[in-house]
Amino acid sequence: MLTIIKYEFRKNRTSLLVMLLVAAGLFLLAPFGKALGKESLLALSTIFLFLYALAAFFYALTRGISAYSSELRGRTGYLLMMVPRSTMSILFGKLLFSLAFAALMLAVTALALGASATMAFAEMVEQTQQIEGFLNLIRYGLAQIGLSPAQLAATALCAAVEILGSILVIVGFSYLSVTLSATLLREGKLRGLVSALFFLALFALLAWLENRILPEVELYASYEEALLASLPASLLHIILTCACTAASAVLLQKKVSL
Amino acid sequence: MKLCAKNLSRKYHGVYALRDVSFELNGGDVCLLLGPNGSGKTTLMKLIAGLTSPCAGEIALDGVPIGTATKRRVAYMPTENYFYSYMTARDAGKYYADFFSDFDFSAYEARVERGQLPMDARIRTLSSGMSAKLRLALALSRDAEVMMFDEPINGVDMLTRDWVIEEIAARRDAGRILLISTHLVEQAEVVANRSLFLSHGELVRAGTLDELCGERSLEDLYREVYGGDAQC
Repeated sequence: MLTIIKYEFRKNRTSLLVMLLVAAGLFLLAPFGKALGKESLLALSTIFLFLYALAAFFYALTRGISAYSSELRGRTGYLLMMVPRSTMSILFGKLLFSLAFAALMLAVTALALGASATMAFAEMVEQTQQIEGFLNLIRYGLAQIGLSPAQLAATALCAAVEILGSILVIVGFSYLSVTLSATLLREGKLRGLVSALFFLALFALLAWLENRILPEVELYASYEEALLASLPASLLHIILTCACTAASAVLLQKKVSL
Repeated sequence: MKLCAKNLSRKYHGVYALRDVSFELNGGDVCLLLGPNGSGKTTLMKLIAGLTSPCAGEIALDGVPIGTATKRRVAYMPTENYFYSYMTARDAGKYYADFFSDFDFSAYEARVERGQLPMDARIRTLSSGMSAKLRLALALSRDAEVMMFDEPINGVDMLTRDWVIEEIAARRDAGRILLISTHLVEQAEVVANRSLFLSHGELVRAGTLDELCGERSLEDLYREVYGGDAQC
C-alpha cells in the first residue's frame, strides 16, 4: 500500500510543488508588507491564504479521485491493475493518498496562514495598543451567549472530528461512484455525469443516516464529553468508508474492464 | 505448470469479445495467438493478465484462478502505451522493480541501451517504435512463468524484430509459457510450437504447429482459416 501511495505522490509531484510555491508566495506578501510598512499587504496575505487554504484542500482531495477516474478510462490503469496488489490495497492506498495530500496542503497553508495572521495581529496590536480590550471583548461576547472558552473549544473539537469523518466518507463515496460508473459504462463521455449522480445518491443516503442515527451537536463542557459525543458519528463514518472501499475493490476486481 | 481456460467468455456491451473459449497450455509451450483484428486476442491476454474478468467460464494458472496471486507470475506486454505522463524509461523501470520481485533492473538498462532508447526522456515523447521497444524491454526483463507479448514485432524495425525473436527463443524453457499475439506469422513461427486461432471471439483451431499445419506453412493455414474473414 505504501508503494501505491509513493507513486500517487510521484504522479502529483508537479501539482504539489506548484501548490507549495503559491502558498509560499502568498505568505511572503506578509513580511514584505511589514518591511515596507504596508499593512494592506499583510491583510491581503492573510485573506488570500485563507481562501487558498480552502481551495488547496479541496483540490488536493479531488486530485486523486480525478486521477483514478482517468486511470479507469485510459491505459494507465494497466500499470495499476497489472501489479500483484489486491484491489483493496490499491484502493486504500489511493484513499489514504487523497487524505494525506489534502492534510499536507491544509497543514502547510494553515501554518502559513497562522504565521501571516499572527504578523497581521501583532501589527494591529502594536498600532492600537489594545490587546486586552480586544480579548475582553471576545470574553464578554461569549459570556453574553452563556458560553465559556472551554465549552467553545470542546464543541469545536466535536464538530472538527465529525467534519473530518464526513470528509473521509465523501472521499470513499467518490471512489465508489467513479468505480460504479466505470462498471456500467466502459467508455463514453457520460461517465462523469453518472459518477456525479451516484455520488449525490450516496451523499443523500449519508445525510439520511446521520439524521436518523446521530444526536444533534450540543455544547459540551469538556473535551472528553465532546469526543465521547462524536464517537457514534466517527464509527458510522469509518464503517461507511470501509464499506465503500470494499465495494469499490470488489467491483474493480470483478466488473471493471480496462 | 499449466494455464487452463474453460468455457471462457467476455462480453462488452452485450457483444461477445470472447466466447466459450477452452484451451490448455503447459510449461515449455510457445503459443502463437492468431486471428484478424477484433478476433479477441487482446481480450484473452487481458484476461490472463488480470486486467479484466470473464463474464463466464474459468481461467487458472496451476489451479489458481487469475487474480492478485497469479499477477506476480504473469508478465504482459500490451500493445498500447500505458505509462504515466511523467514517466521516463528509468521511472518505468523503477516502477517495475518496486512492484515485481522478478524484475532485473540491470538487464532492463542493458536492453534499453541496446535498443538505443533514452533513459531519461519522457516516454510520451518517444516514437511508436521506440516505445514498443521500451515495453518489450520491460516485459523481457521480468523472469515470469507466463510471458505474454501483444504484437511484439509489429511496428518495429527489422533488426528489432530479430532481437525480439532471439529474446523470446531464449526464454523458451520447460518452466515457462510464452504467448505471442501477432499478425506477422512467418517471423513468429520459428519460435513457436503451438497456436490458437481465434475468430470473432471463438477458438476455431488449436494445437501444436505440427498437428495444425501438416505439410503446409503456418501462413498458408492462416490464409485457409481466415480467407473468408479477410475478404469481408
